[in-house]
Amino acid sequence: MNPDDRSSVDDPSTLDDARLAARIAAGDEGAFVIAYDRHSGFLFGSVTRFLGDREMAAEVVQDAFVTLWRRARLFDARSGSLLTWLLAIARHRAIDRLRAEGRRPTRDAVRLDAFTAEAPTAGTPRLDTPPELVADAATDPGEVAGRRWVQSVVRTGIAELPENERQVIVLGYSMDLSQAQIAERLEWPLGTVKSRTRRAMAQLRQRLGPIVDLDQPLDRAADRPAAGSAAQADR
Amino acid sequence: MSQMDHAAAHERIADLLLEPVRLAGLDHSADPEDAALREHLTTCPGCRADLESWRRLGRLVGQALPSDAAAATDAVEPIDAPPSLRARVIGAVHDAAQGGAAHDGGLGTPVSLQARRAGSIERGARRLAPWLGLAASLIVIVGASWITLDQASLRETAKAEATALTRIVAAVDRVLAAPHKIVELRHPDGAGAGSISWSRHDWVVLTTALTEPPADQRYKCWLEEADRSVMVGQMDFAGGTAYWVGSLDEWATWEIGPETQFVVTLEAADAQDRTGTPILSADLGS
Repeated sequence: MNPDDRSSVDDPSTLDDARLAARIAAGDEGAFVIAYDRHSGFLFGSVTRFLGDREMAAEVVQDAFVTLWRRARLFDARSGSLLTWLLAIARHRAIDRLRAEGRRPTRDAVRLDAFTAEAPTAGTPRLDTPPELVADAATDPGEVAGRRWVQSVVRTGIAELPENERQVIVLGYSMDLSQAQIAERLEWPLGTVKSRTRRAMAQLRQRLGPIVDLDQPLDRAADRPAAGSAAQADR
Repeated sequence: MSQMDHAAAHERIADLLLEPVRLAGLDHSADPEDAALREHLTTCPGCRADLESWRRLGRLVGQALPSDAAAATDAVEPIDAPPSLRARVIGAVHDAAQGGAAHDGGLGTPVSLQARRAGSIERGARRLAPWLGLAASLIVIVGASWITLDQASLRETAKAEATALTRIVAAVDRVLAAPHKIVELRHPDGAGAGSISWSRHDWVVLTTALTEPPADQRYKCWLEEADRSVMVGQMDFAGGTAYWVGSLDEWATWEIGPETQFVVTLEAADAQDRTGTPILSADLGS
């Protein structure tokens, strides 16, 4: 045994994505449970925000994890993280569910608006319709769905932050308040506001960077292909 | 204007990051420190890339949040997965493992999802109506048999095939509606046998060159390069059409290059490795 592997054997929860996927591919149900516990929260939050329906989101997440179980050997860690892979599967499934339910974002802005403005289910945060999505709905429903997906993922990333860091991000990026204004509103020292904002942004960059590809131009990041094979189809 | 070094540039970027408006307005700011940062950026690709990355993150965060603070707060409230989902998912996988359905590399239906899929067949049949025109040339194969043979016993088969055809048509529609690529599927002698088309997320293989294999065999689909071969699915049949409709997202970590081949072989139903010779193939990089 490679000495490097010993800690992983002793504590499977420390396995990196590649080793975890390799174990899952070999039929290790324990490794699968670790992957579920590691990624299901982010996946469920993102899909629920995208679909606006917890039960439908649960089915999509279940589909994504069953696909992981069946196809783990196709995972290539060099091309992205396991979470990114699961999110790509879930995104595809979620859009399929919208189509199947006849609630797909379409070229018709009114229909998109109707979809996003529907009453949320109990316990689900209300999903608003950002103006830029309605404006874009007249052009490309795939693009609209892509942007909405990124929006859902980003919101989930923010939701993972500690509450006091979420607060400064919301006030700074939703209301465009200055750090001094945030400090005044929350009655926190200015230095505390600054340090929490820095921590929050660093955490978001670390968490979201591999998922939404911050190195891509923004218009591409909104519907980032999962891998080069898809990108090649664009050429 | 003073010269700014890396450390000072990063410190300035970190300061700008605190306030999205200042970060967005960097290019036009009259502040001497912003001007010094701009000067540094013109000669430092690393800092420039770093700044752009932060800017993109800032824009994504800004775009993700409603402008109303209460709505924004609601939008980022944590959403926890229901505890019952964990048991459901693990149970589904355990069932699949016990049933020997794991790691088949194909598009077989997860065991625990059978009941839901049965419901989707009913919904699929209802959804067929708007696509009748598009599917007519294929459905006629189903219809001709249906009229002349035992209607009761063939009805379910016809319905299943119609559902499959609906799925094909829907996938083709999705592919053609997006930026896509189409390559020809060929026999070993080079004669045309069908087509493969794919877009950012969908993948469709269609051929009438195959007949249904014996019950213990399957036509399996592989992606291959010089040192690598991965099974990505298997051909299904609807009438006289053999097809595979898949999602790129499921195996999209494969990088399609100029040498990538798509290959169809006839294998034992439970085969995980390729032993058969290519029956059909396509150059995906062509």
